[in-house]
Amino acid sequence: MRDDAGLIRYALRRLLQAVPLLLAAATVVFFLLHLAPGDPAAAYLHPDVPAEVAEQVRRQMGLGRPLHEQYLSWLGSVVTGDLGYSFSQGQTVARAIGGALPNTLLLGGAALLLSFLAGGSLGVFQGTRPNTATDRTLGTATLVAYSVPGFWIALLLLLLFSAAPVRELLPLPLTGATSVDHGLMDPGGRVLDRLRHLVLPAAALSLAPAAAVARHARSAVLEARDADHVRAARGRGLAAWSVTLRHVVRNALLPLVSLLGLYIPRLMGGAVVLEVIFSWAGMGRLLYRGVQARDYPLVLGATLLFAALVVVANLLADLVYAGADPRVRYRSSRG
Amino acid sequence: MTGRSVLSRLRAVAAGAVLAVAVAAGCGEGGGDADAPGPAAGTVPDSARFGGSAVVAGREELSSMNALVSTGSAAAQIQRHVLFTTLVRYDSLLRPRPYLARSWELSDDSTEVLFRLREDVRWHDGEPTTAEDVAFTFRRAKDPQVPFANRSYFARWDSVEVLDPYTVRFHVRPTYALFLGWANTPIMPEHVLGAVPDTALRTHRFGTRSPVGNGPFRFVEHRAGERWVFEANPDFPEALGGRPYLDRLVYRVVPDPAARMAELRSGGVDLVPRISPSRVQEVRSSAELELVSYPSSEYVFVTWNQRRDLFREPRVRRALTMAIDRPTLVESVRGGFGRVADAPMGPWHWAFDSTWAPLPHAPDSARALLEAAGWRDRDGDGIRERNGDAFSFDLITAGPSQRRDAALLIQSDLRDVGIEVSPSVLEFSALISAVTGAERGYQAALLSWSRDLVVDDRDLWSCDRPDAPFAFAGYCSPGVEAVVDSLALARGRDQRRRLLSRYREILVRDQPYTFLYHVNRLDAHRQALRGLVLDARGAWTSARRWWLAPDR
Amino acid sequence: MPGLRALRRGETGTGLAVVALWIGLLVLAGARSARIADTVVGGGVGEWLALVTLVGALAWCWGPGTRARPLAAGGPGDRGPLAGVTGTPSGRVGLLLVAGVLLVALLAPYLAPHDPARQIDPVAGAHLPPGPAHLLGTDRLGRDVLSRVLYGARVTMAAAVPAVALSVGLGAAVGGVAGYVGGIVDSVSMRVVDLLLAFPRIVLLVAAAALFEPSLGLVVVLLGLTGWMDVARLVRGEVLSIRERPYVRAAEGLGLGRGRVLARHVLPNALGPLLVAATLGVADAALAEATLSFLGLGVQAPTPSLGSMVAGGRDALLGAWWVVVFPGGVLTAVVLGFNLLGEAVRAEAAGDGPVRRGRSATGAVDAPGEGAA
Repeated sequence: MRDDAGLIRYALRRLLQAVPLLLAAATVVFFLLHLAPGDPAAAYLHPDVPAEVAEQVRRQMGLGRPLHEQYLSWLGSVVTGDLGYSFSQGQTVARAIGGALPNTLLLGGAALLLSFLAGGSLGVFQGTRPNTATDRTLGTATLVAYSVPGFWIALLLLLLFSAAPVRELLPLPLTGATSVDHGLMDPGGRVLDRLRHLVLPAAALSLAPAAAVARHARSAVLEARDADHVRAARGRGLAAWSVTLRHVVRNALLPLVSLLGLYIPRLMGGAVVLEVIFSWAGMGRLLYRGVQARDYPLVLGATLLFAALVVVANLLADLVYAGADPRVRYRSSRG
Repeated sequence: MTGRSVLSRLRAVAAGAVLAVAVAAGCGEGGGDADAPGPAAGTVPDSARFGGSAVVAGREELSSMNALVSTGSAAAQIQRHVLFTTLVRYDSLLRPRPYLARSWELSDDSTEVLFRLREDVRWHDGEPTTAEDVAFTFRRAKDPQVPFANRSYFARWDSVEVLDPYTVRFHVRPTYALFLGWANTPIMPEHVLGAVPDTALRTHRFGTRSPVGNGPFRFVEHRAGERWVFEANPDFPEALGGRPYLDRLVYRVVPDPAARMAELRSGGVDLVPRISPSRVQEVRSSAELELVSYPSSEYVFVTWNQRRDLFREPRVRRALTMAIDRPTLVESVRGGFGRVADAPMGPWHWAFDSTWAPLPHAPDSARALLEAAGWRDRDGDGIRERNGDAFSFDLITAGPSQRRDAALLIQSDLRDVGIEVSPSVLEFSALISAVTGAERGYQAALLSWSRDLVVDDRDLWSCDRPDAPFAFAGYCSPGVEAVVDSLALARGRDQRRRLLSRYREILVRDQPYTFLYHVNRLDAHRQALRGLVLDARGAWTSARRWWLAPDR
Repeated sequence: MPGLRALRRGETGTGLAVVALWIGLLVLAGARSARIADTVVGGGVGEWLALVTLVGALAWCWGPGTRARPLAAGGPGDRGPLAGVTGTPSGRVGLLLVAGVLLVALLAPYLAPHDPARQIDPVAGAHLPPGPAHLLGTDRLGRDVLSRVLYGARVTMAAAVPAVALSVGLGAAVGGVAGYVGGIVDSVSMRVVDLLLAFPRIVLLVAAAALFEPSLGLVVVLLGLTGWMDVARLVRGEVLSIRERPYVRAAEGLGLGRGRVLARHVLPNALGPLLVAATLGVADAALAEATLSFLGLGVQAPTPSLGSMVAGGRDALLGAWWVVVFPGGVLTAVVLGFNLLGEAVRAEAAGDGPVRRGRSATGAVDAPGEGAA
């Protein structure tokens, strides 16, 4: 773009804004968690273990020290990338997250892509024939899809795809991220294997966001259709589909990009419960297991990472938007 | 697993080997290998059984393959029967059989046990398994700095000495439960872990990333939160069963019960241990699935905290037990897959006597007992009072929906006799601290417990250690203490049978717990998976004999 | 008779609806006269609420219901926020669903054929399929699914509505002050909003719900505290634009205090968007509550919740589909009702309200779509 320096300055400013955001987020969660009743060491230790050993394990977990010391040392190590040791996972939090993150990114990315592709096309389809019976029917359908609880749809999908007739027609793996013999497959087979495992969870996860995107896209298309240059293009006698593609859809895309930041937290939230149901070894399941085991370092790390994902995703969405629309860079904040 | 016990994490602890009456097929004991052939035995030649992958789905991730630091019963099972070996193992009649140990000798005064080890068992990296490994494992397990979950095995165990590379001698104090530790503690490789300090054992990569075993299967892969993959060990000694039939054995983590069953139906999983009774219909209606039910050593009970006035009187506790409709509870909560209990010895136990009659469901007698104890409804609100205090208490529990359901049934039964119960479901670790912690302010708790082979309940009713973690109820009587103490040292089943019968009489009289039911476990597997021996020893006992029937 | 006047005026739909509601309520009152008598003698808060609702709804049929054009009517002077919502089919369906759910929630003690926690016959009566005795069947403990769904809807509303009231109040206060005062107050509060928005709501709820003893009150507070940020942004945006209007300027010129100007002139003008946000917020909160309960972190047994009913029915999904399908379906209907209504209100407001399109609005409400005016 013409104004690269401006864009970089803007990016840096946004990045700097994100840092205190993350630290503050970490602080909030850390102190909240330590208000909780229940001794995390009790879940881990055999009750018959002598008191001194229990104490030693607590020390090892950092639970014996005063709260503010735990907090400061934790904050210090977070900055250096050390998120502590997860006693429920038997490995460092960073390693546990490192193992889970790619799965969540894959699922979230696939669901995001699916929402924008499916939802976007549906919206454009509706927007080019507004207020027809088709449009109204689809409008109702998207609102229903938007209202269906994800966990419920997931259960119904499992029920459906484990039924014998459906299974013969469309054999899909139900749960997990890869097949048992994934390691034995050739590279092409592995990609296919991953894709097949993605279908059900990504479909369940993207249902509501796709519906939302469809509704946004529809109104964006409607708005773009009324823009002067589109009217002009139509006036020049260009073919309807070409006007739609060249002018309407292109202009409707920009506001959609700005929505990315809005959907990512939703997707991440939806992933928590869907990862549990679909045995998807990602961040959501890690968080849930951490909560169940009162594994403080793990819950802290996972929550922090979710916040970081959202912040980074928002940053990216903003940068894309700013790259496309220079006016944005000079606004100090969104909304 | 939906049938996961409330105290499942404790179970690995308390429970020793398992026992019991084998439900599946008769048990050939040749060469110390008690695994019965599958239903189709004989029709498929041995050589045609090799190959394929079997997948077992479980609710929880396995904490670690390092037996010195792991927790949870699924991990323990896989360590014992899949990846590692133990000195001895139990056959389906629960007699100790040689495994890593060729033979053993017990000294006349029962204070020394000498084990002679096999010389042909090798670690999967090629090193031989020797007496040093055995000594290392038991020394570390007893080391207070190591968070070994089953430390209670070795309470009466003094030291170990290596006599030669394949002979090891233990010095012990006599106790009936001796073999528990030897049958349940997998031997760990000294050459890998010997140099690792105690405090680093838990985090060592051996646990979750590169375990080296010596059992019938070798470690291949672990994807955290997803699966563990093992493959057949072709060098496993012929005398111990040789190479397993399966090429690969996979443990998959599938936390959601609906997803586990969907996977089983669709063939993504071959065995789901511990299904919920409400799944029975679903399994039975499928031609591809098979349901196996067998008595397990798990029992479910309500502990009345006798540190509190409310539950101090035996007649009040008897009234509580008789007010609860336990036969209906077993029908409703377990779908009939269980049996009303009145002592730890269930149908799985050799001393169990089917003529034992638990206290009946008798609300009228319960009301009379409560009246006699001074509990009357004086203000007409339907709840009994005494000295101005209403008979109302909290009943805490945690775990699967079956516990919650049982608590709700108890609530409505006790309401009928004028007692108000508020059930509450806690987070698991909160429940554990409530019933084992130092304060123990709880009133009543619904728990499950699994004692496996040996009924040794000294730590449940300890008069000299009333604050021992497992002394949930705070119950103590000289009679019960004498019985459980002599039980631990008794030799011979006749003597033990008499003591157990006496033990049960005391429990029925005093009702320190209200025993609810013995659990009949339910496992579901695909028909194609053969050679399963499912009994109270657990689902994995016969893993090296599992095989897959060819398609159709 | 209520509704007849509307029928005479030719408003068939409204008239029939009022007549049906009136007859339905009378039948209910007759059939449950014993329970109503119990309420008068010694009912709890829940029963009294049901009784008041019953009497109130009957009175409404006679009063405003008879006048029959309560919502759509009126000149520019009395255009209520709901005015015009009934003009579109989806608005009508939404209003119907929302009114129905609220009515059912309030009347649950009279509507439910059984005590939702009672195990009618835990052995022979478990997992009965839908039939005359139990219209929606029974669950694994022999509890009546219909009664549990009714009470479950009540719990959902009892969690979502107060939670949204909390978050709207909090959001309006923060957003109003931030937008009106501006400066450091504005930037600090918007940083806090940014901070909290960085957490996916469910993640925050799951982490927080596990910390404390789960209860309805806790769920309300958690939902309220995690839902106000969008409202704050929205109100701030509204206030920023309204602040510059002549009448606000004039009020300030007259020397009125800031707080007064804010409360009297600025916030009332932001009411429309607030209502949209609140309605959509209820839908969101209901979903979040159900998700928490599904994970076992929400309202605890024996209180029925739609989410925990679905979770409890997972064990017998194939054999007893009704235990999972009905609560999920009702939940979907509840959420859909509020979404439809919110959309309709938004569409209506967008027709004559201030410009509310483009980025400011999309960034403001976590909502399915924009009014296509």
